[in-house]
Amino acid sequence: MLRPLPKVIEVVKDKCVNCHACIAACPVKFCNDGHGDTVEINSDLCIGCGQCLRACTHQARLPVDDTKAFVEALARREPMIAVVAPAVAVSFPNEYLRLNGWLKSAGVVASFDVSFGAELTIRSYLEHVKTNTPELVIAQPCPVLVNYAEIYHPELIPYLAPADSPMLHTIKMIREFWPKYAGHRIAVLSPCIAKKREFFQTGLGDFNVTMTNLKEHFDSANIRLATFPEVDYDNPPAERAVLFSTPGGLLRTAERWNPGIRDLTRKIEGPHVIFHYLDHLDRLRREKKTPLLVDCLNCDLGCNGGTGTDAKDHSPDEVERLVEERNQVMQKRHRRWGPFSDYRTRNALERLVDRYWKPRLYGRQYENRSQSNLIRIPSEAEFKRIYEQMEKFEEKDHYNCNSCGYGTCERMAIAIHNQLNRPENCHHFLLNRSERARQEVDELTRTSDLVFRYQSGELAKLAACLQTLANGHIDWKWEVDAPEQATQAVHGLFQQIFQNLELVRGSLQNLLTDSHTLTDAALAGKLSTRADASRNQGEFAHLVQGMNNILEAVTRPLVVASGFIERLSRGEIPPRITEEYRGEFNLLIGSLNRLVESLEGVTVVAQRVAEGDLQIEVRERSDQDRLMQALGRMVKQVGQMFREVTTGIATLASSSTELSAISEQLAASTKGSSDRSTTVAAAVEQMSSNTVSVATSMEQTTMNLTSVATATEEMSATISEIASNSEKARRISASASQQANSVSEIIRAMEKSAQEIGQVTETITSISSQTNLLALNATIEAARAGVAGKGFAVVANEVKELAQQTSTATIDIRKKIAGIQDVTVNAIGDIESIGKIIKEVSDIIAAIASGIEQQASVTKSISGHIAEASQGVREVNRRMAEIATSTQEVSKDVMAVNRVHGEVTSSSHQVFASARQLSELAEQLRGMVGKFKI
Amino acid sequence: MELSSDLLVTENQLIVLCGCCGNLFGIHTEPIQEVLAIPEVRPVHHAPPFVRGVFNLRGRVVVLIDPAVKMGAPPQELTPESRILVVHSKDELIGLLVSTLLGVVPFASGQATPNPENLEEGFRKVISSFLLLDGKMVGLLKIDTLLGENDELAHDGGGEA
Repeated sequence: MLRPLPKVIEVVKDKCVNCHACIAACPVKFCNDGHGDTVEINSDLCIGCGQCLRACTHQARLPVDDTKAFVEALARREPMIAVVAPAVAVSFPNEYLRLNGWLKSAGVVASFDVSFGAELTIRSYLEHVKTNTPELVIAQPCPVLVNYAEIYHPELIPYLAPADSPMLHTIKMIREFWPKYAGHRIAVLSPCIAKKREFFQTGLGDFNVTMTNLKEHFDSANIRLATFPEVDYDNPPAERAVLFSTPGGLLRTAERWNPGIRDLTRKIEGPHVIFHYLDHLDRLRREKKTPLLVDCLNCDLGCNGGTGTDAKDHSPDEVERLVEERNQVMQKRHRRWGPFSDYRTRNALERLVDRYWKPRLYGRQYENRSQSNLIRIPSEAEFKRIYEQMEKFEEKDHYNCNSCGYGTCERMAIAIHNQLNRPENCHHFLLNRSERARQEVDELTRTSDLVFRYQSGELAKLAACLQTLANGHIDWKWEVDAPEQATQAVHGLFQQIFQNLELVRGSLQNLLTDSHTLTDAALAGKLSTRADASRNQGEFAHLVQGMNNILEAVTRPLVVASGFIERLSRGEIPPRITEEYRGEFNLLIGSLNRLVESLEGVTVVAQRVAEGDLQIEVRERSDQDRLMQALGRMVKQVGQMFREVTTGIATLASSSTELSAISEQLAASTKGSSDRSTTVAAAVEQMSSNTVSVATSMEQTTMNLTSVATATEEMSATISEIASNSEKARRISASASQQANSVSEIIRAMEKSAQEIGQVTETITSISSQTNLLALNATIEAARAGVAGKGFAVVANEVKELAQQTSTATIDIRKKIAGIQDVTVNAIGDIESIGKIIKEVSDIIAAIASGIEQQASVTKSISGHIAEASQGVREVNRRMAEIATSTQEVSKDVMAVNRVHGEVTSSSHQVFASARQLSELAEQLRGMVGKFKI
Repeated sequence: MELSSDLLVTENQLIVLCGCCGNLFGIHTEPIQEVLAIPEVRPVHHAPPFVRGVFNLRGRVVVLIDPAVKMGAPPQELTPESRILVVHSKDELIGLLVSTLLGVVPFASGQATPNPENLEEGFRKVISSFLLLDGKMVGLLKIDTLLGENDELAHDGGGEA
């Protein structure tokens, strides 16, 4: 059983985008499995050439090596020795001996140079050639082509050099000649990821530490080789075998032994050529066209630019220069100077090499791994079927475009056949598919365009119909266009819409007809017409029913009200309407009811008045109720009238009663007066006696009058005193007014002075303005003088300010003067009022004086009158006498009075009778009026 | 409008602010010789309307011009506040009548703003630019223009008068 080969390249699935660049770059494409969404590697078929590492731009392919494990092992202080490849000269330029220093410091006890192993390898090869005389020797320091031969060209296995690679030579040498390192683990610092296969297959070598990853480790751990000492290798130094890592290095080393070997050697490197070469090698061998030795390396730059170095992209010049330098150094080292130097050098080297070479120590066995290669080639029929899957039906469909990475459609077909890929990765297939998709899309677009246009047209028509409807009309016209095959489905829809629209029109029509019926009927006054709501459906039916209900609701109260009013018009008072209506109808019914109420009220009032109750209160129904107001006024006035009549009657009754009483009295008093006249006569008698007493009293009166006259005299004296006092007062007031006048004169003089002051201030103001002018002039002159006038300008400024101050002071003065003037004006006013008062006083005094005068004259007249009174008294006396005579005549008259009395009595009886009649009448009237309650 | 002592040292020019026919004008102090209050002015008959008359200035006869008439406004009244600015013009002394004289102020050329568009014809010829002082617009008069084109302005004055 073959053990599966260790993985040397791994795929990071997340980063793989299935671009197949790796497949395109791979020499043995079928180690890649691309039938999924990412490309995977079959390590058993992978030869580790590293091409896909360079081809992948997505960092999806990474080399696998043991650097990490190595570092960890070092950290664990495991016993370790290092085997260092000559490519370190390129990866660590000029520092490769310091690398040894680092290794030693990290715990590696010894480091060995593979270059010496290469010397041994040459020895082995030459031995093989000499001993076995093979037809063909394929040098195999390169594990990639070993893998390739083992897996894909097992027929070449016999021709692989049965010797180890230099690295393995070194390891075996160590095991053989340095037994102290028997238990140590071996870390190989190599430039090649595929070396891992070698170690795996031979069981030698524990850690494959690639130089790339070692360098990365140095960077991340911040290890600088410059800080480490240069330490030489622990094994004998190689000479030009340091060139082994270079293409042609093997050849040059072999040349040292066998100068003619170059003619028998093919030097070939680069993955683009070697595999093709190897494919044909066996055939050419049989045709005897092959060289003896094939110096073959996978990598373009040889091992110096191997898959485990960073030098892949370097120029050959860069790379080989370094190695060449080392070569020169080594050659110099080994050089034996003096005569026969070449021979002696060669001899020395040969002895050195022989010390470490043993036959059969460095033999290498190879495995035939072609069984891993399970790639089946499809048969003719199978090919056809696969091509059909890929939609390659004709010869011309075989593009060989290498999109899939396989180079030819045939190889892609093989891959598909082996489930290593799928038609979806074939460019042609995808093109076809997209072409088909595009055609479908075109077709769909066309169809949808047609449908869209049809729809737009129909919808526009529909919109127009709806617009007509929105404008309130139902007379739209719409014809649905006939459809094409594409628009068939939509046409059905529009037909549906058309039919529904027709139904809408029908419903609206019904609704309109019904409403018209109702409105016409209502306008014509036919209140009992109702529409048929059953013709409509849904909300429209509700609408029609609603309209019916409106009519119903409106007409019924109207009918009731009109009936009611008709009865009222006939004069009947119908009973209240008891039906309940809603809203304003209720108001109507209420009003009608109130009307009935008030009519009843009026009726009641009239009835009560007829019954005689004039005290009834007439209630007005409102301010506009003229009827009730008139009625009320009528009742009131009638009542008032009756009241007055009653009062009048009462008065009449009482007057008539009084009259009868008076007439009785009159009769009585007439009688009394005749008695009286007798009494009068007696009184006259008395009167004449009284006259005498009167005369005596007259005397007294005269005496009184005399006293009055004396008193009057005294009064005159007093009055003249008062008169003289008032004269004095008048004089004083005159002088006071004069004083007041003089004061006002003074004040006027003061005012004048103030004015004069004002004039002075005017002068000052003019002075200040002139000063200002002067200052301006000065400024102007100073400006004209320029710099020299600077001082002058200051002076001008001062003058100007002075002028300013002056004018401000002047303004102040003016204000003060104005103040004084105000005060003066007030003072004048006060003085004037004082004068007025004085004048009033003197007027009063004059009035008093004139009054006194009047009094004096009155007193005089009183005295005059008193004299007259005395005179009068005398007259009285005289008249007394005359009275006596008159008394006589009086008694005569009394008699006449008695006679008249008798006539009066009879008249008073008549009066009495009439008075009685009157009071009876009054009683009658009262009785009539009494019927009315007032 | 104070006159500072270091005024003349700076680059400012001085202008005299005066009021005439309701507007504020500024006149450079350079051509001005002096200012005075109104003296006895003898009118000159048959003279152009902007010539108010002549007066005696310390032995010299000076013509009194009314700039208001020259700019197309009605003639100014003679009040106690009126002043005469005596200016040099081509070896002559000419008096300009103004209604009020406010003072002398410094003026930097950068402070001027150009004439507005709607300025009347009569003003635009003689005002070079405007100045904003204390919130009021002051027009800077070009004395030469005002006095120089006597013949043209005489025609204008004659036409408008």
